[in-house]
Amino acid sequence: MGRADRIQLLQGTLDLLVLQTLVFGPLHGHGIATTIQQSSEDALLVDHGSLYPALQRLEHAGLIASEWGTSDNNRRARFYKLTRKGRTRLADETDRWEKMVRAVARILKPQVAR
Amino acid sequence: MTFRWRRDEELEEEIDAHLALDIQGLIDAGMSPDEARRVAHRRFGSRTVVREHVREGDPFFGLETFLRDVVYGVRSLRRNAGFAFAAALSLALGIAVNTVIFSLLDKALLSQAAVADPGRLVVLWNVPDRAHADAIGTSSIPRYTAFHDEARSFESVGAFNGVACGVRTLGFDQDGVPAERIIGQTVSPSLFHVLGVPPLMGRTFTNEEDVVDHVAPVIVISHRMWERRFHRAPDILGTSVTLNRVPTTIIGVMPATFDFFGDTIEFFAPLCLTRGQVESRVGGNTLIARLKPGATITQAQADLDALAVHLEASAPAIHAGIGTRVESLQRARARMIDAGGQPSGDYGAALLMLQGAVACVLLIACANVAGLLLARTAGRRQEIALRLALGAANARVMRQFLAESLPLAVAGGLIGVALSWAGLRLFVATAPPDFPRLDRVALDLRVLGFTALVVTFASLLFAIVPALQASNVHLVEPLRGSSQSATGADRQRLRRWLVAGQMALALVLLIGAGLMVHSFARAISNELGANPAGVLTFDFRLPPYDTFKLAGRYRGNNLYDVNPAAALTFDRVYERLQRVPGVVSAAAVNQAPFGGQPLQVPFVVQGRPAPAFSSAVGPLGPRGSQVANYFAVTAGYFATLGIPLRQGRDFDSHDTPDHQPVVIINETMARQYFANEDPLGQLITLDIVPDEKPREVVGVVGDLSPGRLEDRHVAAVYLPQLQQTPQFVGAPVYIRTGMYFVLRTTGEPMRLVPSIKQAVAEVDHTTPVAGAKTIEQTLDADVRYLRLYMLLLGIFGAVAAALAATGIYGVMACLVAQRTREIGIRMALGARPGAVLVMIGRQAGWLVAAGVVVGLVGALALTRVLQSMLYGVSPTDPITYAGGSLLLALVAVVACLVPARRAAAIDPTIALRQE
Repeated sequence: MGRADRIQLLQGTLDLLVLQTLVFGPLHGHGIATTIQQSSEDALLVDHGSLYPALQRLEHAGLIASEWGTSDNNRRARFYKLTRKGRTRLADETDRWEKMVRAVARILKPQVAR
Repeated sequence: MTFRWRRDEELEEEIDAHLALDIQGLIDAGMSPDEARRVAHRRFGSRTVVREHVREGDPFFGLETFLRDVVYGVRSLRRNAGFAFAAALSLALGIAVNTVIFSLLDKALLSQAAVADPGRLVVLWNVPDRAHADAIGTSSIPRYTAFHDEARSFESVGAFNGVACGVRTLGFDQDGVPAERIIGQTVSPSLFHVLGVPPLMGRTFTNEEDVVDHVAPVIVISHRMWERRFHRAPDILGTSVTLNRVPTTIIGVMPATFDFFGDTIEFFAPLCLTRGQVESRVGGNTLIARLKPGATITQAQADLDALAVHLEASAPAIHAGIGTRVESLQRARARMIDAGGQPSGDYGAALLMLQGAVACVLLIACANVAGLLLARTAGRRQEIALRLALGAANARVMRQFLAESLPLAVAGGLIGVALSWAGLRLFVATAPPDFPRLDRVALDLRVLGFTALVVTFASLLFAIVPALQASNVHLVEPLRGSSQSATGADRQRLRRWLVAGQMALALVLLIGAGLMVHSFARAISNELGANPAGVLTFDFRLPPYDTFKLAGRYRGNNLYDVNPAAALTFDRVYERLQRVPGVVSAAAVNQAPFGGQPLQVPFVVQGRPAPAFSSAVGPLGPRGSQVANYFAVTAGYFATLGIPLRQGRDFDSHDTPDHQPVVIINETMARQYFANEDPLGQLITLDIVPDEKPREVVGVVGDLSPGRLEDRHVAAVYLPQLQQTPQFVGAPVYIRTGMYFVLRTTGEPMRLVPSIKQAVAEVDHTTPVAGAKTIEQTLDADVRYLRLYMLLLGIFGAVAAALAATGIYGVMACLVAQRTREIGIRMALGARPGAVLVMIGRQAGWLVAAGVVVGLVGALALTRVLQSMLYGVSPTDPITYAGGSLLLALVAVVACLVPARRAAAIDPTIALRQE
């Protein structure tokens, strides 16, 4: 996929993606970055670095928690996992996201919605 | 901070781990190590940016940048020392006056009395006429008894009397200490229980010790008295002392903390009630009550109102028309209480006036600092625009402003605290000694806390206003260097509003100060009619029961026989004082010169019809009938005080009871009654006792003013004290117990007090020389509050005017700087410097005019609160208003002179090349 086809993330969506990524279990920063990229089939452009301020933000908000652990190839890495609060927030945000997408789609392609 | 560094290190480690994993993955996917590293780093992005962004979200990050901003602020303040000094000083002055007045207010109004549970204590003021609920006074004994026995809202009711019965002489002890005058307070037995203060030693009074007409000779002494006079003797209880020549037993000592009556009261005695008091509606007693737990002032008021109706029905002669007002002790303590225990004024009003004045000064100071910061912001618009253009958030710029004004606020606060401390010392040194609780006035932590609050609030305000303005900046215009943007005009408009507001507030203060100065000048310019410089007075008073005895009734009042020995004692003291070295002349008078409203007596002129006598109005005749001020004097009184003798002769040693009774009258009396005839040789009869003989007028003297604050001319009659009537009528018989001696001295009058005491003791060692002071001190006491308020308002007015001047100077200087190019063009096109001056002057004129108009309206509305503090001047006195406006305008003109001259001196060639 060419670089031009990649989509810059909307503000706030990165947080949602991070939370979604952690649904299936704890991951370290690199793991989260690659998961987002792979599951979006490389359509989303994520600067790996931009993950870290987001992680910090989410941790402050109590939506995720972190602890040091060991990665697959025996490196020390920080692992992030969803908190109960994070799980609730993810459900809410996903719901909102879907509503918004439907609404935007209805405006952009009215015949589809009808 | 260590926590932050750990987070930093952890972040570095986490990033390292991330990159390592990424590189490993890419190598595993078949990339060369070099290429893998390049790709990993590229898709990670800037490591520095990540670090900064993570830090921004860290709570400790804010503190660190804030500190950095503070340091930056200090540095930039040091570069603008003039600005920093002006701003910090403005702030400091505002804070200092605020703190000083708040400290005083706190101690005088807000401090609680040192009694148990003061919140439940109330004062029951007498309302003599229920139709005029604002006029309050002290209560009669029947009302005290009724409230004590019947009011249901109170646990207990106590009473205390003015000092009338309390001024006593602590006489000759066994230990031979000479007699001295001490001041006591008579209290009901219940009073100490009401206040909830038990004695330190011994006991207080029982009901059996306060039986009508048979008061027990017992006293409770103050802790100060115990220390001062009895050197903390542990066996003081039961000691007998001589009070008014009566052996009296000390039954208790109050604790040192008991200050309810101030620190001049040295002993407490029972109320010493007489039969007459118990049946009289005459007041004099202050009632204090303790509310039952849960009872409110409103309930108590309703309770007493109901009781008043009942009392009026049962004994109308005593209770008709009288009401009661229940007031919290806190509120009552702010009232000025005169020597008779009557509430005579209100410190509250005066202090609130000062608080208002202080608030004005603080506002002006804040406006000044805000104006200065605004001006500085204007100078920094390019810098701010650059920061915003480079991506700094509005919040970030605002935070920077806050941080930069913090050092200013702190410096202002510190100088302010130092100034407050000095100001309080100055106030304590200059305040009248009877200012409430003056000895406890000090800077305390709460006041400092209050100051800190003011500082924080002010600094926030100063920071936010310019920052709001700054973040409003258009990004491009300032960068282009244009000096005439729309926001610049907005900012100037705000500054001009601030300056006009300052002018208005300063004018209100100047007018207030002017009214005080005017009052003071009025008061001290009153013609005294005498030359008081260097004259010493003291009070010499014999015990009442030695001096007069009840002899019967006359015209509905008690008639007393006066002991002739008293006048002879006064005469001997008078004779002895003539020989004290340093005394030029000595004399005596029965009522203190300049001591306020003197006793008046009715009189009849021989050969003219006597005016109708109405006994219903007062003991000595109705007001407005034929009366004159009554003075009994020794020979030499007029010469000693410097009262001019206009006609006839002074009294001399032949004017004794055996010779023809004589009088001297004052000019007003001569004019009023003998306008067309010679007053000398006329016969006058004082209409106060039965069998009074006519007295011959032998002289006319100049009028003497009753005090600084009184300039009415009233008829006065003087008679030789040895020729006073052998009887006297009514309560004023007390004036026969003593004389005020007046001594004209060489050198410092107070230096003679010890030798005077010794001379008096040679004549009578059981009666003390009391209240020794100069006449000038007496006169000064009349105007002490006027002087204090004048001084304070004067200082506030001056500070306010100076601050306002700085404000208008700043605005005009800024205006001239901004219009330099425009003025240059005008001058290049032929405008003369004079025209430029007029143009700048018009700008300043509008500001001043707006300020003056608003200020005049404000002063009209606000100076009404000064009414009770003014003397001889109306709160809307046009001369003061005009004078204040003129003074302020003058100050403003001087402040604008420098910028205006700078404008007129602009060289077009240089101005056009600027920018």
